[in-house]
Order: sequence, then C-alpha cells, then structure tokens
Amino acid sequence: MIRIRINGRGGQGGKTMAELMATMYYSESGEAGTYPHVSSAPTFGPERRGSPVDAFIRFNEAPIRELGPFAYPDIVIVLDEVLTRTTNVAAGLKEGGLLLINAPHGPDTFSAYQGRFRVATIDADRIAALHGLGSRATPIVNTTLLGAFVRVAGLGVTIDGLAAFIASEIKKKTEANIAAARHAYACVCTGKEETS
Amino acid sequence: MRTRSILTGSEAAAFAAKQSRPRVVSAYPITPQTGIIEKLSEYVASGELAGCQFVPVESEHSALALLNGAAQAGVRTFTATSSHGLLYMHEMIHWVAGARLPIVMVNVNRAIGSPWNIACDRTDSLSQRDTGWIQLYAASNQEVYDLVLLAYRIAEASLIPVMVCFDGFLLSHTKEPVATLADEIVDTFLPVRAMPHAIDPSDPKAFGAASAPEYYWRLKRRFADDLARTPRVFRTAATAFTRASGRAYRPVDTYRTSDAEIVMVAMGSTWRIVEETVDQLRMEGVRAGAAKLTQFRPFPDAALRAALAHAKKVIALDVNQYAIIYDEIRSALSETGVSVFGYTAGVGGVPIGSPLLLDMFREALLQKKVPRRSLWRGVAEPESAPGRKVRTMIPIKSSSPYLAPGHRACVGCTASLTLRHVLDVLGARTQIALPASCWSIIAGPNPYTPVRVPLVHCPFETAAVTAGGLARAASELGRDATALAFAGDGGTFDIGLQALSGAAERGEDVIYICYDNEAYMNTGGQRSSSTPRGAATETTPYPNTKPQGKKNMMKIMAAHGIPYAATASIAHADDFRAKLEKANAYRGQGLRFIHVLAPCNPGWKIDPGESLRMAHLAVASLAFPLVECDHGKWRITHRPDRAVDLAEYIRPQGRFAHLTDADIALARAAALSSWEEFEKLERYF
Repeated sequence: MIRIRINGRGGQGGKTMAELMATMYYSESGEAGTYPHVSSAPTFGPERRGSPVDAFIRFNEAPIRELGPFAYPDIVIVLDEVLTRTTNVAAGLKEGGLLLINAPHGPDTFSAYQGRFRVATIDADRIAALHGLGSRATPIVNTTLLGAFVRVAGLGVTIDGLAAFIASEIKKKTEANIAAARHAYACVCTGKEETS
Repeated sequence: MRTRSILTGSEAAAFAAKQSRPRVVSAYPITPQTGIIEKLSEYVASGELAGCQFVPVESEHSALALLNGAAQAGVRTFTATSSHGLLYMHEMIHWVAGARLPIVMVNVNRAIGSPWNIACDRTDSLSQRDTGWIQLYAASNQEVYDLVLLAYRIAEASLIPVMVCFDGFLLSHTKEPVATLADEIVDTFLPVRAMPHAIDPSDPKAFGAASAPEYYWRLKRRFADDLARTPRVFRTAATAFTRASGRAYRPVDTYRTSDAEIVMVAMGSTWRIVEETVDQLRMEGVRAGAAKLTQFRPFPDAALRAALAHAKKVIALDVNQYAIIYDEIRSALSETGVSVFGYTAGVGGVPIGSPLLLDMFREALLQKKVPRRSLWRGVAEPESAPGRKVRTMIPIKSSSPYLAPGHRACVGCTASLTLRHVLDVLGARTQIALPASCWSIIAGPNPYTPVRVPLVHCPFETAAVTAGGLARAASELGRDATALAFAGDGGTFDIGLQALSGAAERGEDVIYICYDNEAYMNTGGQRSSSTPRGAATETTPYPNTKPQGKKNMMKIMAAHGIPYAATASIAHADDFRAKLEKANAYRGQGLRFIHVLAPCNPGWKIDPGESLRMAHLAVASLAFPLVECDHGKWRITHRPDRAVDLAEYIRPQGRFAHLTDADIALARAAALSSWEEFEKLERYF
C-alpha cells in the first residue's frame, strides 16, 4: 500500500488535491500507473480557514480495509512552507521517503530533512498566483503541486496524463490549472540536478 | 469505461437518494451529515434532481415532521441527519413509524453530548432502537449506496420507515470507489407504488386520531407482527437488488466462521478492521471468525444464531456507550450456552486498530470466567489526575481580562471579537450559556479555553432557556451573576426561536446576544432564516439562491415587549458597548436582546482582512440599521454620515457574485423601506 499525507492549511485546497489524486490514480483494472483500490480522507474535525489540516491518500492492489488518518506515510506533500517550522511535517515519514514542499527556495534550505528524506521543492504559491488560481493572499495550489508531484513521485502518471485528467475533472479555470501544472512540472527542484 | 466513481460516503448516499427520485427532501445541517444535503441541493439547483422539493427547514424536528405530512400525502421522501439532530427528532421518529410511513432517513453516526464530540460512535442511532424503525448499517461507501436503495424497497414493501446508518468521517468524509447503477436500473428496482393509506381527497380520512385502548392495541400488535416479518421482506428486497446489481445483502454476514471457535460481532466500518484482525489470527493458527450486523433493528436473532452455530465464544463489540450490542447479543444467544464477552471501544472517535482487537480476542480466548459487563478498551488511564486548572492555549498577555489569546476561530473572525466586547462590558460576574455555533469550537476543547468566566455549553435550541436556568439558580443562591445567552443566527432565528420566545415572554433575567453571520457557518455555510435574499450558500447554490428575505429578528423580539432590544455591528464598537451597558443596567427587568452583525469571511467569500469593513458597509449602506427599542421607545442609534450605495456592500462579497444590477436595485429599495419604517417607529413610538 502507498500512503501519502498532505500537510496544509484550511482553505488551501489540500482536501481537493487528495480527492483529485485518488481519482487520478484509480482504475478498476489497475493497469500501469493506477490502482484498483484507492481512498482519500481529510483530517476529521471542524473546518477552519487557516488552521493546519492534513489529508490522507491510500493506493493499493488489494481492498483497503483501514480508514482514517495513518501514522507512517511513504510520501508527504507540504502545501505551506510555514508548516515546516511550526509542525513536524516529516512525522512518521519513512527513511528515504519523498517530501515535496511548496517553498520559493531549493531543497538545500531544508537541511534538517535532507539526507534522511528525498526533498523536492516547488514555488507553487507564485506559479498558482501567476496563473490566476485563488487570490494572492490564498493561492489555490493543488493542481500546481500535482504537476510537481507527477514529475518527482514516479508513480506512473505522465504530465500529459495529468493535463488530460484536469481537463476532464476540473470545470473552472481548466486551462489555467493545466498551465500551472505544466509550469510546476518544468520547475520542480530536487536539489540533485537543476530541472529548468 | 469506468463503472465506478470515487465517492465519499455522503456523496454515495446523496447519489442513491437522487436516483430514488424522492419528491420531497427536508434537511437541517449538522456535522458530519452536511455533505449529503449539500450534494442534494446541488442536484436540485442543476436540475439533475427534477420534480423534487428540497426544504431547508429550521430544525431536525421539523425535518421529519415535514416528511410526516409529505409521506402521508403519498410521495417518496428523504432526509438525513446525525447525532443531536437524530435525538432532537425523537418524537417524530416514533410518530412516523406509528403512522407506518415508508420514509428513508440516513443517519451519519456521531457521538452525542454532553460533552460535544463530532467524531464517530454509534450511540446516536443505537439509542433509537425501540422506535419501530428498521435500522441498517454500512461498512463501506459501496454499502452506503446500496443500502439506501435497498431501504426504499424494504420501507415501501413493509410500510415501516428505514434508517440507513454509516460512520461519520470514517465513511462520510472518505472517498472510495463505488459502483453505481444506471438510472433505468434503479427505476426498475424502485417502481413508484401507491401507498395504500395515502391521503385521498375523494375519500377523506383522519390520520393518527385518538384511539381507544383496544383499537390502539390492535394497531400496535399488527405493527409488532409486521416487524417480525422483516427477515422475509429483507430477503425479497435483497434478491431483487442482487438481480439489479449483482451484489448480495443479508441481515447478518459472516467472515471465516465455518470452523471458528471464537467470533467477533461488529457493525459499520469497524467490520473492516475486524476482518483484518481475523486474518492475522488465522495466520497464527487461531480459529477466529467474524459476524457483521448489517441489520440491527429488528434485531436479527435467528440469523445471528445460525451464523454463530459453531462458536464457543462470542465477542460483542460496542462502538458506543451503554453496551447496546452486548445486551442484544446476550439476549439473542441466551439459550445457546455460548459465552458472550463484551468490549466497548472507539467511543467518541477513539481509533480502533487491529492491535486493540487482537488483544480482545486473546483476552477472551484465555478467560475462563465471563465478565458480567462490557469492558472498555483502547485508552489508557492518565498517569496523574488531569489538572483541574483551565489552561490557555497561548501563554501571552491579553488585552482583555476575560478572553485570553489562543481561541480557535478562523483568521479574520468577528464572532470572537463580539464576545470580547460583551465580556469587557459585562465583566467577571458573567455566566455564559453557549449553544452549538462557531463559538462551540472557538471556545476550545477542554481543558483549554480562552474564556475566563463560567461557560456552559448546551444543545443548539436551548441558549435562552439554559441561561434562564443559570439566572434562576444564581438568584436562589444569592449570587451576583449575569446570565448571558450567546448564540449564532441559526441558534436564534431558527432552532432556538421557541426557547427564546418563551424566555422573553416569561421575563427571564437574561442578556441574549445573537452574533449573526447570516448562515450556518460552523457546519460550512448552509442557509439560515437570517441569510439575505439572493445569497448563494451550500444549501442554496446558484442558480437556486435564497428566495426569501432575512427574518426581522429585531421586530420579533421587540414585539415580545421585552425591556430592551437592539441591533449592533461589530464595526461600531462604541454603539455596541453602549447598548451592552444598557442591557446590563436593566438587570432584573426581563430578557434583554442584542442582535450583532458579525461577518464571516469564509462564508461571505471575502478576504479575511475585509470582515470589519463589511460590517461597517452593512450599516453605512442601510443594509443593517443600528436601532434600539428601549422599553417600547424606538430609536435609530446611528445615522450614517456618508451615504454608501448598497452595491459597495454587496459587490465585494462572493456569496452575492451572481446578483445583477436589477437584483441590487430591489435590495436597495427593500433596505430603504426598512429604514423608513425605523424612522417612523422612532418618530411615533
């Protein structure tokens, strides 16, 4: 089973991102890049704009029996860089696991995590705002981060596959969401090599 | 092509309800049920659910009462609720069962108060066991979808209402693949049937009229007999469902029981963890199995006895208080000689994992003596007694003596500011009655709270009367206390209006503050009767925006002849505080009421920095006049010095984004007319 946790804040689109990922990686037949069993869930509790909220995604070959939050993710996606200073975003992350952070600077800034984890960064706030997604105060970064995710996570969905998925699933600002995803795909920074 | 959609439990329930083509749907928002009614509102707004009236009523009691009328008229109906909503319906739950109305209701399982808790446990619906309803429980979102469809078939065949229950958050908020049926298949599975005792205007009858004891007895006896026939009705409906869907349902399901010596009986999504645990035990060579109660009411005694025929030991797992499942299973197995071990877990949403269930199996396997009660497992006792001191969340100095930093409001919230001003004026002797509202969250989970005066949380509809109780007791005890009811617009305009009206008429010595954010914001923004005309909310999505205007609470309260009623705005603190001083000064004279406009930035869809400006613009544009009625004397307390056009107030708000200039012109005329009315009241009264 692959377990992915999204650490974000209420209003940033983390829950929607988790739902999009579950839908995108699902296929009944479980062909390459998809799973016949998926689930996604937000943090269980009241909704408050600005408060830290997590979302939890599971992909599996067999039926998924477990529900609710999990403690040990394989991948963590951080929607707000501030959370890396106020909470332990790597809590439970397996050694060598992927930590994708929405931040304006490169993975070197996160030296505490480098070495133990595979750190990648993407300035999703800037890219989302550039493409008119959300407001400047609260950019909606989910599709932008998905673009970065498909590049660094290696779970088998291509950027063209993502673009086609956004086109079929997102009715509002479809083109802007696709452009932001492609932009992020091109700029995501893994620290090992400059990708753009 | 995909045959499955990725749906939350709420979406699965709403989709099944939509495909069942109900003609009348009523609902009142409560976490975690809101996803269902919001989706149904969307279906109605988009035209996908045509020929259906969606009624956003003022309380759960009315939600089911409305269906009492609609179902008696002979149409298919639907509603959904949870926890306290279900409890508030209790009278109607009995009534519609007695009336033999085939209503289908979804209950999303959630813990019940006191204290508040919104996580999953099943005490809510299990405590409604003796109401005559058939109760079904889902273990997955697929089962949620299937059981709603099955419920209609069972309800209409037996003329007994059916409650479909599923776990709050664990299923309601989790997305899973769900195979849905084509509309035509559902139509064939659920043909529209005439209810034999529906209202027929050509043959007028009275329904539910007073009955002589013998007549009453015969009706109830027949009902008991019909309930006893549920297994057959279930079987017939499930057979038809299997033909339609390929999926099979039984009142009791089993897993690896054929040679099992020890079997755990579970229900809901907990079932999945039980299956996992059984697999682990089997790998260790333990002959373990599991049985699932898909049907809980009427209790499937015979099916359960058959399922447990080989078991020597049975574990009854209660994910609820009061060991309800344990009692039922002991009673069902009383003559079989099987040892029944009871365990209580997961109460209030405590996670249930395989390790916890493994421990139960191992303990029960080793035990020779059967404990005589259900044992609570899953949370360790604290090493030291919990501190009695109420703590603040952030240790920094506050500018308010009665409201410490670290409250749990959204960024840019004005509800938090409202209580701050109230406590600044009313001071240390204040005692608060706080009904369900955003402030139930803002006030923090125990032992943390920013509030420095006694605070009694209370059910949604009870603010005024709970505060009345505080005032009466303080008077008896000779205590110098100010009883404050602090409620939102939902708790004041809608569900709490009856208690408020009663308290006002009796002259309870209470200050009642309504902080009005113009919708049910704590549950995500559903319309209330305070929502202005034309606003888009989660239950009035565009283009089905709210057709009714905002209820005039100020005039309603003034009409009670109370000593003091006033409106206030969080942007006009001096005016607000002066009114609080007056309300405080009229102590002992009866109920004093202040209605404060407190904008909600997520709900109004404005930037968090705009909240106060919106409160100011509401007053300046005459959308929300600041007035008072002091012992019958009306006065406008603030005349805007600069005329602001209503469009300046409306245009920045996302909830009004669709309004045309013509719509705004109508709103402007209504605001002006209301202002003129206050001018006249001031002049002549």
